[in-house]
Amino acid sequence: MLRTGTSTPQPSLRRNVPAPAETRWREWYEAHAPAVYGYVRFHVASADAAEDLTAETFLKAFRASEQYDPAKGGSGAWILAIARNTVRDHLRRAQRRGAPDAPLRDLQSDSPSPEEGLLWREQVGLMLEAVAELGRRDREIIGLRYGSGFETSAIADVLGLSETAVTTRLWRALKRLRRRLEA
Amino acid sequence: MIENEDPGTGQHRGGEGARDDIRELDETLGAVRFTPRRSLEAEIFGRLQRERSSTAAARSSRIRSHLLIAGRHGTVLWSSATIAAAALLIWWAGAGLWTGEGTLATGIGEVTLDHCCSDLDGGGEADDGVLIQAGEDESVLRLAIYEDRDGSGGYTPADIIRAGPDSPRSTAGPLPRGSVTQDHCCRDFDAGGPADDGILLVSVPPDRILVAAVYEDRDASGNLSAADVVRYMLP
Repeated sequence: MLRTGTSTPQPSLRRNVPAPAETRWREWYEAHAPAVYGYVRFHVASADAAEDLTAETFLKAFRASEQYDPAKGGSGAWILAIARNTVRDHLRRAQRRGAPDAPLRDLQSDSPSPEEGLLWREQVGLMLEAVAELGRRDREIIGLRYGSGFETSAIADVLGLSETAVTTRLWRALKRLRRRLEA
Repeated sequence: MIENEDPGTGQHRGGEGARDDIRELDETLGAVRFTPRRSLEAEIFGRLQRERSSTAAARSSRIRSHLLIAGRHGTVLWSSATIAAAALLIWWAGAGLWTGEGTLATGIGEVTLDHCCSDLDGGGEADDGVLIQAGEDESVLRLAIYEDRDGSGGYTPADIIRAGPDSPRSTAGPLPRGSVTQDHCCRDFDAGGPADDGILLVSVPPDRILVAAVYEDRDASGNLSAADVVRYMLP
């Protein structure tokens, strides 16, 4: 059964009360950086690129923070929307420059031994390569579910879909990913 | 979530094996966690502060030169290097100085960038980092290459500076035998925003760095070329 919960704290998508600018920005960063970084990381080949895009996302959000309207939705969904656009622009540019290749230095590992840690890295590397071959919609939902750690309801909020549609889309994306990995 | 049915059609998704495969994939993906480098937050807010602050400190003049490497003989040529007298940097009270012992100061409008870890000295280990102090207008004020001795993933006083502002100057001439040239492009090395900067390194493995130059990849070629601009060079 597909997991609908996660053991990690959910990023906040609650509606924010206006606060002095930089204080609010730091709160946004603390609350949403893991989700943004995780989402971006499922779309790019290296930690370097993910860090640059995460920085670019938050700087755009801070510069445009006066345009954020809490009445229209949570800050997390708003910042994720900026992240999605930033990733999209990067992937277009990356086709011209060529995506960099780098080891998974940013991958957390609880493996009890270096050998198992290496196997884990290889396994994740293969999964990321397979994710990169999927269509944009599949990559997006996998990035939100496993990169950002969002539950179905949060993904539905970001994508503007029903929860049923999210579940269906995710299931089908995983099937296609499975086929890629077996190929 | 209904385990045996496709939520879109209500039909069975397939055999038990297919469901197990998807479940296993879901669990494996759910265990993946990525963490960015620790200095990222400070860099972001440093860049933000720079954008918002007024210019009060004097800037050091840019050192602009063109670096050509003759491939066949491996000789490094310095051409039309104009070294202007550098203006003094005025540090605000409370800021320290770059001591080379791990203290990095930032004056108004400056950002410290710490990119770790790759194999920059040709030693075969991805344990080297780049420490950059970037000024306004995409200028690079200081550059150091360090070895991440304590494995922290960023610069600490426990690390070793392999090449920095105090590195001895070398004169033009043939490169030592066994020297390695690397060109790492493209990232944001000058805190300007776009990932359009590279760093060119000439080293003698395992850990001796002869030359390090940060450049802006103006022609988007992905490596240093005559059309690019060198922002900073060591020594």
